[in-house]
Amino acid sequence: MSNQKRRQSPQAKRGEQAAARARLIAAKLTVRASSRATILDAMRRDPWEVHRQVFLAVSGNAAITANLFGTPFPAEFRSFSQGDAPPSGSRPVMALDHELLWSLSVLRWHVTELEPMLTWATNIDLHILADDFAKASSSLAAFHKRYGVSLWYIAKTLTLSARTQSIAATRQLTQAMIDSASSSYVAAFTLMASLRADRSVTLDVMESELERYFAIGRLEANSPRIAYHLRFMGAFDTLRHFPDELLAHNIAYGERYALIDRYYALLNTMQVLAARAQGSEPDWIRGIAHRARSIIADPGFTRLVEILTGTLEPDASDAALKIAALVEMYTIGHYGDVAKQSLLALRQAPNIFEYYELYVTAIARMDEYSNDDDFDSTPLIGDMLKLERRDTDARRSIVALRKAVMERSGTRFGASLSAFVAARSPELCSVIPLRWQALHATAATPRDALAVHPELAVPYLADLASRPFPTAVLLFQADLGLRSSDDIETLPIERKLKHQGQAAERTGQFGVAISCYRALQTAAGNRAAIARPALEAEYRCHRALGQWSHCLNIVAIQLIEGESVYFPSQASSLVESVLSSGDASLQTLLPWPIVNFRQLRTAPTGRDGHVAFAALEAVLNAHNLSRPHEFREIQHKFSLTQLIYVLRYVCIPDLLDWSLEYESQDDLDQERIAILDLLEELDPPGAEIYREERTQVTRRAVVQLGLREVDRGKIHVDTAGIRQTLGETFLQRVDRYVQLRSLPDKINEVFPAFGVNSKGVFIVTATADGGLVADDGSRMFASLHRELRNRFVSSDEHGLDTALSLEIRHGTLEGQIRGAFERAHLITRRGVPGSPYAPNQRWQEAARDEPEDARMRVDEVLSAFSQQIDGVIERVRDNWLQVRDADTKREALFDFEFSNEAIIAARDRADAAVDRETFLDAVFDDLWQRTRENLVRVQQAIRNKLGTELNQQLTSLEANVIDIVPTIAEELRQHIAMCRGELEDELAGIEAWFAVDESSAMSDYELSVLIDTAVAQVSRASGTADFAPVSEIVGSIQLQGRTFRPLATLVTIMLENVVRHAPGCAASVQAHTTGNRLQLIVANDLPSGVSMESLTDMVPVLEANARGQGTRGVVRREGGSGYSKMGKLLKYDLKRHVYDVNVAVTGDRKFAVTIAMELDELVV
Amino acid sequence: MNVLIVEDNDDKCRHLVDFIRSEFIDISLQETFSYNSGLHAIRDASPDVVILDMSMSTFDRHAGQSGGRKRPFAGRDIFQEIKRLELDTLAIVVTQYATFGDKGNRRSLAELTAELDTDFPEHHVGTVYYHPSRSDWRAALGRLLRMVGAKPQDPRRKERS
Repeated sequence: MSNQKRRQSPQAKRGEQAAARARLIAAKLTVRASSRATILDAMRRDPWEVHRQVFLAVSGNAAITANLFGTPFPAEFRSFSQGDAPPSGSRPVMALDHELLWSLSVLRWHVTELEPMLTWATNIDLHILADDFAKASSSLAAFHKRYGVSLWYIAKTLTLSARTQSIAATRQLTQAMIDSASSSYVAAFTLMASLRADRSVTLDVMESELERYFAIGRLEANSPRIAYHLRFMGAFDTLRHFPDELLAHNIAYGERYALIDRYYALLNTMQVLAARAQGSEPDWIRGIAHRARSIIADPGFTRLVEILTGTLEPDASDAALKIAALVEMYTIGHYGDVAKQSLLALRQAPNIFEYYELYVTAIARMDEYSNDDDFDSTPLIGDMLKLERRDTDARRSIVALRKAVMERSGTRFGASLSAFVAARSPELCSVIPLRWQALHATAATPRDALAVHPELAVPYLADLASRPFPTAVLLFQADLGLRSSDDIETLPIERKLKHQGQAAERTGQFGVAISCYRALQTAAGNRAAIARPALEAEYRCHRALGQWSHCLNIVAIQLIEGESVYFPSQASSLVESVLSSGDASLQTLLPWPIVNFRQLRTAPTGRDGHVAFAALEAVLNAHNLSRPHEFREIQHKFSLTQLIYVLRYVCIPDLLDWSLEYESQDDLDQERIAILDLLEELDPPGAEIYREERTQVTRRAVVQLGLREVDRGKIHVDTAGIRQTLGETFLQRVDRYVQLRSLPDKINEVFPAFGVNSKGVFIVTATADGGLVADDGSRMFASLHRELRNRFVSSDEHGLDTALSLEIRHGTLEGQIRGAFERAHLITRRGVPGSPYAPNQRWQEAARDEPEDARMRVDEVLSAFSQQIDGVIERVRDNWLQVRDADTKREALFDFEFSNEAIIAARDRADAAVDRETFLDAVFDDLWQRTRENLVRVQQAIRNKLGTELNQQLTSLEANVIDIVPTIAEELRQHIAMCRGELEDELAGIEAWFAVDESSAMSDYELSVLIDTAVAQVSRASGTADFAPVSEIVGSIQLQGRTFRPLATLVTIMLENVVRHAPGCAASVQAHTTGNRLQLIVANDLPSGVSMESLTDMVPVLEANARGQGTRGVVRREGGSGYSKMGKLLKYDLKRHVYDVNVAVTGDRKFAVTIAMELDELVV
Repeated sequence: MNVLIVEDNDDKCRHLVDFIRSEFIDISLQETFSYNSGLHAIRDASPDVVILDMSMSTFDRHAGQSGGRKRPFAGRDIFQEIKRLELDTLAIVVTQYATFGDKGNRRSLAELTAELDTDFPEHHVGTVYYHPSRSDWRAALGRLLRMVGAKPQDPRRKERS
């Protein structure tokens, strides 16, 4: 006996030991029920042989088998899975190979049920792919009856529902399934399956849904295993890495699921291990694959073994033969036949991806294909074809195809399609596409030689030699360097060149490869499916050789031509390579800014334009150019196409503004216009586009100029108008005074005794020689000065106070200051003065999780803040920006009180006057001088006092709000900081209003400029960035530049009324010219709260005000004075003696104001 | 020491100037108000240190002129140009924002500081969070200015620190 034992083979010895071990475990499991879980945990680590023997020993014990196998065929959702606790909590997870073997042991135990079940499942997939939903549904129902529920069943049920029922019905079904599930995991997978079934779900959408429903980002950080399990089982296509540890956990977690799910989890894990891009497959995988294949005759495991070991199983199936015949035809270039036959084949077997691929690749390689009857135009084929041809919209096709992959997730077809896309798109893929496709192939083909291990490729092809694709085998042998493709006579030239190139590339003969690929591009003619990949291959070879100028040139040309798949993704790495090459001359080539510019689009979010600008600067500097329009002089040095691209896309204001070459936005705009002029010369077919952009740039610049004109002209006095209104009596007094002052000096010496005493009172001295008193001249001057001053300051028609009211106090100031606070959501509006402010929804929402009481208090603080800001604005408007009156307006900053000394000084300055006109000039100069002094005070007050006060209010607000709700502190501080920045800009803008600038830069302009400027001004001042009334301009006229300010102010007042009285309502602004007549019409819908009757009653008053029939002085007041101001602008600034103002309130709750005037002396 | 302040907020600029004048000696101060004018001054005047705001417009706003594109990362933009033009300039960022950029491109001050440290180690001295109603920014800015060689008003205080 002992001798017999000694002679026993190691295998037999192991079997005996396993049997003994199994008996022991089975005994323990039976006897020690309380520690069964521990015994099983230990047993899982035992060799594979032990598992089966234990199963045999305990198969009669239901309690133990339940522990071992769970419920392989759960009848109902509630018996499916085992609660919410992750399995890792119930048992230790083993190394991946042990987990896989254990899983395989369980599957082996159920193999008799497994094989028919898989065949059944495959047929259901076939029906779905063939759009035979009735058959698929009935088959699935029967499947459910036989095998119960599973994740697979849920997915197919929802897929069928999505194909055959409404979205609402599918959602209801999903909800019902989720409600029935006893496990949150099953509920999660049900939700994910419903997302996959929805045809509109892309990978990006899936990712965002994972975030929305599962906060997958946080889950990955806190519980990476659970997150991985969710992705693997529910969103496999979103996985990017396949680490052993997480795969092991995934398999262990899968113990809770039905048998079919465990099978697919096992197969899928083995497949990713065989194809994962992150490294070579583990050594033990072949052993497990062999075992799996030995117990399950499934194509998945068959292909796994074939690819991993390079050995082939006999395959004489119809599909294999058909595929072989098509491959052979394809190899010898009979593309038309391949297209016809593969189309027939795919219609008969829509689950075989190879037919689709052969059909698409054949069609793409034909010179032309006109047989419409034989053409399949389904979206899937169409997108595959676009991708194969690298059409300009192929990027969109990739997205569509990835959706299709998601829909077909878990099928061989879906996996093959995924590999097809990955092989043609340049993004990093988590698996090696060629291998992935080979693993999911229906039958072995010579192309697999490129997927198997290089050492196995030769015998693999030798094994295939007996199959009916001899030329294809020869071709791939040539690819491996075993023969020359020149020897294969039946090959079309493009096949020869491609494979010669590949063979050379594989052996590092990049120069030879480049020659082949270039020849291939020539041979391809207009067949992009051949030419594009050849160019990509040529690029790869140049890269390998470090020929960066070639690379830059290829990528630049392709980017210009709109290639959307491969080359855009090369931009970033090419830029890195060029930079690290140390060859500065590369950065002087025109492709350099093109590639850098394009890199911006594919770079991660947050990249700015600096790289593109720096690249452009490098080229400009290399050619001693300061500005891009100077390319004109040296255009012959460059490729015209590249120069056009650079000028059009790279030399844009947003990139040029990095440069110190430009002093202002105007300067930038002028350069862009010069560039567009050059582009129009270089690229006549694009002239229309360039002209359009030039119009836009010019218009934007003119509107900016218009806004500047309006801002600059805010402080104005119509001294010419005042002169015209001076009466003859007044002017005679002026003459008299001028004559008096022109008397000989001697007389002045005789009567020198005028002056001011210590109390500031004029000294009046009687004269000796008849009539004149020494200070009469002074008194006369003081009187004339006072009268002119009154008109200068207070004339309703021409004076400064009217301008202040019209241009600043009437809404503009309020809008400008409020805008900064409103954009930061710190203040709200109220209906009428005294009514409460609207609740601040922005901060109510931010504090939504806080108690009601706290939110109420925050709103009270914000409401009080709104009131404080409005209070500050009112004080500035009503107290500061007024003409000083010692009795009632002590804070007023416009001081036109003249002391005696000031009058004397003014008189002295007017001494040079020789007539009425020069006298008036001198006095007005003096008044302007005083105005300037006042304006300096105003500017100082705004900069210092107002700015400080508003900033202090912000500081208080911050403290008050954070005191109540500390949780919103950071968000609030951010908004307050933003407000401070904006306030700074706004106050600087307001400060700039208070300057005397009579130099009008406004040239003659079109009506569109007028309307655009008014709209821009109202938007800017109201904080209503989205204020965009519909504008319409009829007729084309050119208005004189001097009319711009009054006309723009007129339209602005009309539009301000809309924003103020009908906020958020639809509005329009029209300018119509007919003959010599201009009509300006502003119309708007009325808010629901406005009384039609009251408004209709007001119409005659409004019209009368606009005709200048309102109370005198009203134009210098604010509130209810807009129409009077419009009248003033029409009558005096525009000098329209006849004009119509029509206010209409219509029954359909519309309000319209129409102003009509003659165009005499307004147009050019 | 020549100090350039690139800052578009008058109030903040005034505070910075007051602080620097009150705490340091032998300081020559220059002020500019935008990305463009700041960079011009850095290139032409070669200041010893620049105090840099982070968010500014491209050009100075004056005489009603638009400031051009608003740059949420104007300070970082200036660093990029300092590096590209190989200027020998040190800069301290003083900002009143705790986060920068808009949706999809948002960064906290700490993230931005780390980014500046990584990308511009030769130029970035440090970052100071400024708040008008707080005073801790003074200590932080003072420490950074001393680091780059600014002389404190009171030598004894300098020794203590």
